[in-house]
Amino acid sequence: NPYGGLVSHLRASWLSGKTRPMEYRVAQLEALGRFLDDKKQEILEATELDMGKPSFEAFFSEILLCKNELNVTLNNLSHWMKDEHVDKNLVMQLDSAFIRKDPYGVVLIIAPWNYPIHLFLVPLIGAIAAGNCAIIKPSEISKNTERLVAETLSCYLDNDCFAVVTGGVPETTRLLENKFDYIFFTGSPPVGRIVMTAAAKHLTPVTLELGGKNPCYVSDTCDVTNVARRVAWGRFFNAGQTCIAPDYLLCTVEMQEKLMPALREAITEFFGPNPRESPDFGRIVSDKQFQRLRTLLGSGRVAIGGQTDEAERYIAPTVLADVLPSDPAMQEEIFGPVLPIVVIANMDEAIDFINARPRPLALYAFSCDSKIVNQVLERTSSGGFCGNDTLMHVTLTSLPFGGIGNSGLGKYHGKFTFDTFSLHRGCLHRNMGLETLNSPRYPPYTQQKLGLLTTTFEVKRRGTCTLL
Amino acid sequence: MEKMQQIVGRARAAFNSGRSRPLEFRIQQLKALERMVQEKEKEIMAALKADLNKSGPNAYSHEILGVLRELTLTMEKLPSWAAPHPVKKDLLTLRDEAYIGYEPLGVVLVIGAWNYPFVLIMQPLIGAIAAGNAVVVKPSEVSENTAQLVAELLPQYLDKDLYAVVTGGVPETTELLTQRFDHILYTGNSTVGKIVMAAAAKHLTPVTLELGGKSPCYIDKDCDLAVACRRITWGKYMNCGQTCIAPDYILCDPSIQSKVVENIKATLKEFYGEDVKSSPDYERIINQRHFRRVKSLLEGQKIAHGGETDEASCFIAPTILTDVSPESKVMEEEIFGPVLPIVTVKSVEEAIEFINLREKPLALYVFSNNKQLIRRVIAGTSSGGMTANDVIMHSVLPDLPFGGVGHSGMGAYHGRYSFETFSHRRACLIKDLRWDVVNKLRYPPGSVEMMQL
Repeated sequence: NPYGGLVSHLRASWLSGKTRPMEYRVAQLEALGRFLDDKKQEILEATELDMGKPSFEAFFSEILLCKNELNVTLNNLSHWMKDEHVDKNLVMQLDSAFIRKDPYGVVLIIAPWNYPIHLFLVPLIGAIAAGNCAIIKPSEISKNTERLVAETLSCYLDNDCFAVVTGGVPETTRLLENKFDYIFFTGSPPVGRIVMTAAAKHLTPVTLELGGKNPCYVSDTCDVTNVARRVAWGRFFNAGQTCIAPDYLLCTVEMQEKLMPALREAITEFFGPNPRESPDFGRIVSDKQFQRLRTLLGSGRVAIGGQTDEAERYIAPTVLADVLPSDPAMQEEIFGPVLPIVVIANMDEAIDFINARPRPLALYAFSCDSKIVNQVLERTSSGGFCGNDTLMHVTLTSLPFGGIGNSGLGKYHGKFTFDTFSLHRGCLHRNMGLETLNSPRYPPYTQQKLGLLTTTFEVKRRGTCTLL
Repeated sequence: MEKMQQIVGRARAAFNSGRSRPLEFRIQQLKALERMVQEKEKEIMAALKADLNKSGPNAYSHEILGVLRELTLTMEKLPSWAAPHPVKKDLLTLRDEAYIGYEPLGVVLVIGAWNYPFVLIMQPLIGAIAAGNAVVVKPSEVSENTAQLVAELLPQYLDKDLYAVVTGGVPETTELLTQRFDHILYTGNSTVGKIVMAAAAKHLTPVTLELGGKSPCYIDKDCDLAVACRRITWGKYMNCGQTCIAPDYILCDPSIQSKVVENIKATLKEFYGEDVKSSPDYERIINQRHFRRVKSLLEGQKIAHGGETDEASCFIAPTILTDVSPESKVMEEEIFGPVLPIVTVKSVEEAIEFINLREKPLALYVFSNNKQLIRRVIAGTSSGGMTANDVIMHSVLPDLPFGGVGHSGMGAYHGRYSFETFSHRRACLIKDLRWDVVNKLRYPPGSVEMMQL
């Protein structure tokens, strides 16, 4: 067990109790903040090398959003850590009943390559805030960021309590043999299953942030220009390599007709006439992903874009029209700058189409008619939902971020991350006196005692007459 | 087995019809459950008597009272629990609608245990129905009378397709677990808990595992021993020790060990009289297999009180063991029987260390007049839940989450927590389609000035 020593070391630090005081947690979180400030340039450079991530995007997702989470946590930590007192019943009026937020112990955070800093750092913020030790396993696919994290994070965090492990599938498999007290995984559903199966051996609770095909319904009554901008922005951000990107569009054939020029205009507005020359458009992370995406271009017909360059791993912002449900682009999560449009007759058909498929991480609906947006919301199921925009629901830290069914289990962001990494322990501190109040519960049992017990423990419906 | 696929398929089709979603429907089903418990009280108590030799008042207070309470609370609070929760917005979303919507998960599976066979099916079922799901219920085959009764009664009162009962043992449960569910709540032991979670992993199904372990009970020298021992005796020997949150073993200073024994003995006489075997209020071990298991734990131990057994009636007398060695068999596994080992420790620090060397328990108990000491024990240990200066009672408060940690489980339920366990909290952000002024800040082409904004 190559990682046994490391895990034991962290567990010993955990048992020493040093991660528990608030001051310690604040110090570590502030150090994370300094990491983001000091290494901002390196992060922008590493993510650019890894997937051509535009600096603007990298700053937004890897620095700004992370700092937001950090600040929300630092601003609220003492409040979140406090015991939550709860309502008591009649016999417990002199007792103290509360929920204690306990850390779990040693947690494992496995991050993917597409937002390689954000997707380990935001969970880590919650893990630290909740008082845990953590092992971070960044993705080997975003290798420049992996190296940056492995080499520099240790300069900021307490190395007895936080460690970075690098490597690929074999290393992760060995790592998962160890017992952790919580595992937080972001990645694909198949690997999610492997992680959960490994966790089951140790009865380790998990959060799985997975993915799927996020549908985007566009109704006939909408502001086409704004829809096109918002959808294009969400689809082409990070060259489409976003778990919550609008994966495919559902609309009528008339709307497809109207959207096409608007999409073309939005793409030109964003990236210029030749997106390949724009500093604001990313690249595909690896040859394997590039090849995979290229084969999807055969679906439907290329209405916008379609150009590729293997050397640069460049795929132009592409819109595919008249895509069929049986086409390759509709068989897997796209995770690239390709937007298929599937034509449907009406909203009901769109909803049926969505509901016939695994529940997605995100779901989008565009309409000027709020009733339509609400209908789509009410008649479908997804991790999260955004009406009339894309991606934005995950930037609000007061909303939980997570999937359902195939797209994941558990949630985080803001306080939800803190709650994910803390055990909510029910505590009752009773008075040693007033023993007579307890006598109805003791044997020998009598109907009279039972009557007393019922009276003191019963919950009455409001409005019912309590006189008998 | 085609049968399982059919049952789950029917439940899923029923869920997909949408009829379990309106609040009125859910409350109507909960009301029907309430009627069932009230109308069939005699039958339920008879089943509990047959399975566990539980007396009337005992059965009523442990299993029926709790269920009725949960039903009342749930029906009362459901509208507020199920309402969308608006959330705090930021600068970019000020003009938008942002809230968390509570939605059903779909088809959930509830697997019960045999020790409180009625309430351990009913309480999760109540939460699952309240959250708008279809439910497949699998009562424990070990408490066969209650299982049979649940299988007969539920279809008489509830929507037959939405709420199904599956009976059977290991083969049937294994087959059931190959089906896809949207949540599984399992109550039982850690070994099977791992099997349930591994099966759930194949479908990425979230699980709540209510398992067990050895719940420690530390008695400080500074405490009212008579009161402490009465409360401990009550919690330990109720249901013949077959309670997941029973105080499993005692940790105390050697100087008070004999006083503890004396107090417990006196309380036992008070509760069950001179001849425990003839007390109508003392239960029996569920079956011969468990009888033999618990009896074997007595081998080589110093029996300070009790120790009598009768295999024919699965009777084991309330038993206390003293000066127990931490390495002995009785200290290895969860006892789940009326045997109370006392392990001596010299200080609360030693007790805390002892507890932390072992798997995290479902419950933890500490008795002391010293508030600081109690705080120290809570802060120095981890457990699913705990009660200071009493036992069991933290599980009775509906506003406290009830669940384990580590080997004692994951997730929690009771009251609002049941509703949340069986719900999906969906993040919803509804923006205006017409205004794009603010959005322009985020669109490419990006620039240094924009970033500095």
